[in-house]
Amino acid sequence: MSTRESTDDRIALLQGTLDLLILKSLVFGPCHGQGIARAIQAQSEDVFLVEHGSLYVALQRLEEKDWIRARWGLSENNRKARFYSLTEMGREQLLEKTSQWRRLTRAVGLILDAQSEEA
Amino acid sequence: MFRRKRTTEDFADEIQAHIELEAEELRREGLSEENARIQARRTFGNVRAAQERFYLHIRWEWLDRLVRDLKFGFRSLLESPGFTITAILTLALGMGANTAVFSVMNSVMLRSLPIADAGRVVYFRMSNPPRGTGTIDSTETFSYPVYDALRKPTGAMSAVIAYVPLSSNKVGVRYGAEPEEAEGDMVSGSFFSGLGVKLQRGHGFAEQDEKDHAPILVISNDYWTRRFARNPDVLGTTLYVNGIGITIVGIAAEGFQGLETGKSTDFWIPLQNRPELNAWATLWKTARRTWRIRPGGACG
Repeated sequence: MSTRESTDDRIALLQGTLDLLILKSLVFGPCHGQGIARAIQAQSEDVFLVEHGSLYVALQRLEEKDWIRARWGLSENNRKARFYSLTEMGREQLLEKTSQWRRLTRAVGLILDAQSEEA
Repeated sequence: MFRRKRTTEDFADEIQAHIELEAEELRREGLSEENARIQARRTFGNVRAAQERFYLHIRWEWLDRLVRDLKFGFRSLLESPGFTITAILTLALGMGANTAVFSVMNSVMLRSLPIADAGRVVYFRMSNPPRGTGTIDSTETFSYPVYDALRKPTGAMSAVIAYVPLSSNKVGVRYGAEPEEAEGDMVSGSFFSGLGVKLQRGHGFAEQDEKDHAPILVISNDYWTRRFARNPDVLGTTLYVNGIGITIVGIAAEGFQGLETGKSTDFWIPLQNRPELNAWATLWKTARRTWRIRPGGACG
């Protein structure tokens, strides 16, 4: 499998983006921490390296903000796992943060493109 | 603030579940049982560090909420100064009144005398005494014959102690050339021995001293400190009380200031019969208050 490739190609997550990615990965339904980590890694085509320690702290933080809620359950192969799901507030936050992110990347992109033209 | 906190055990369980899920997925991807487990642990990284971060996080969260609640509390108080002032004044007055009452109660009722076995010392008081039994205050004072009758051994009391203030306030004393005032009591011979008050220097009184009206004197630790700068040479020197020279023979133990709460006696002398020192005639009128000790018996 190519998922075990060297970590050099991966990018550490920007501060604050992990929350957004967690919220996004929960849009399609409840998921446990390991699944979220895998999903983020896979959907970013293995670019993002999710540090698991940070992931769980982020999950805890989101839970305290009531953006997500957690419940112990069984995984598809009958293992005990803590499943996270989005709350109504979490959905709203996801929309807001997504649009914020789009504006940010667009602005950064504009600047970078302008510079590359000048260069 | 009162949300149920997630336990660190629960968090540890979650990490364990994560590692097992990961290992299972790795096995499905073709790794051997053992390699899958090792790999799963490795990708997770430092489990302890993660747990520590979680722990610190919930701690911080708790503190953060507390700080926010306090801020909110202060803001609310500032928004309604009338209520705030009323509340503060109520608390202040309440505390002040309680402190004041306790201070008085403590010195009057709770502070025990610095004497041996203070719980066994009782204060004599008569109910419905025949006329003439007492002196100035018929229920709390006793004439000398009454006192003398009371101290006859009955088995109930181990000692009966009498004391007579030399004056309602202070008496004139002179040590060397300087006249001054001090508070003194005339006491029965049983005073120090009966109360169990130790003398830090010198000696106290004996029954014979009372009978002889011995011109000897014991000073309190406070008076010794205040007037004589704790000079041990004071023993054997003469203190003039109302012009009568009396020899200082002892210094009472530290902390003993006489039997009256809230007053401190400076010196004691045996019961005297000289008119200058509150003679017998006067004593008959003012002999006050006896105490008794009943070892082994309950105090009634």
